[in-house]
Amino acid sequence: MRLPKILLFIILTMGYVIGCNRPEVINDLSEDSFPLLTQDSTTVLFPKDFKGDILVVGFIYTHCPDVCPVITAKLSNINRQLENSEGVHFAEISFDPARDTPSVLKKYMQSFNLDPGKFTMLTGDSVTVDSALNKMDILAKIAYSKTNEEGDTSYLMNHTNRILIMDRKGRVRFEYPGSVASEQIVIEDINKLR
Amino acid sequence: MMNRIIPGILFFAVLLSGCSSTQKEQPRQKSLSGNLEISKIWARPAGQGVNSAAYFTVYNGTTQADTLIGIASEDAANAEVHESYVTDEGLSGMRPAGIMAIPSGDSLALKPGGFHVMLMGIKRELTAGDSIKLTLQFSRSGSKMISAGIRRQAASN
Repeated sequence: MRLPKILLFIILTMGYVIGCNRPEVINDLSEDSFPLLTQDSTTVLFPKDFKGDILVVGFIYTHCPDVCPVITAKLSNINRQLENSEGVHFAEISFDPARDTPSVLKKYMQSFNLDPGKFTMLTGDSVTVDSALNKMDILAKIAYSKTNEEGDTSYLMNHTNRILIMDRKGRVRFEYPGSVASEQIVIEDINKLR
Repeated sequence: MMNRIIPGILFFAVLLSGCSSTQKEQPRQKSLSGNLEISKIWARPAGQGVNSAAYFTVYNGTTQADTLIGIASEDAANAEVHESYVTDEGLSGMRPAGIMAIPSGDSLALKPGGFHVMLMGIKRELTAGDSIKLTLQFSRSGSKMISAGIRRQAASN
């Protein structure tokens, strides 16, 4: 039986459209489980324990006052603007675990009024955090330090500016330049993974 | 022949009229008020011991150039103007911006992702709704004290 040409065209077009809406896997972390600490000092396995949810991930350090708060605010805005946030979770991983202890991350979270039911802040021992960051191609290094009159030294870091989305299996499907990502595009991409 | 030339002339006429209307739409230069005007002032929340950033816009309404040469706050261990930038490796970073010259009739805008006041080592917790005082030192206009309201995000305007 030969399909009419018009029917064949429709099938091919639909296949193309469906294909476009299913982005390639950028980075597969489905077999990884990095033990990290939440803002409540609970150990979780990242991203294993988040499987089943679409996970939107940002990378920050709390001593960063300009770019990182913009990333956090974007994630908060995206959560607020989602018409249906069921099955979507947000995580922020600190690349400054030496200073970003669970209690510091908890205060940071409170200062942004982030919903603890939807957001998880993550830190941990520096080796594990570095391994997780390396797996996601996130770089961070100390770049500027200043010592005050009391002799206390504080430092700033240069870091990758990124937000990414993992599908329900822990695979990275979308990446964005974090602080300048379009909230609307991120929302559209979240919905493509539903 | 004329059939080809006339549309060409019309095309350039439309192009030129477009140019002149663009010039008319340019905003008129703000008249000099004789003062430095500081507006759009705010700062980010921060826990004690961490860093915050403050933002504002300075319009130099005086007849001479002025320079922002220093910033201080009793609520921070250090305060200096920084700029956010992208390194050669493509990383986001912040670095001191040095002194900031503001020509007469011009503005200096400190805003997220660009120039900002880096407040290092905040001495008390800054929460939304709170405020922090900053002293700005200008080479010609002397010191100006401003109060920055603490907000999570820039106003949408």
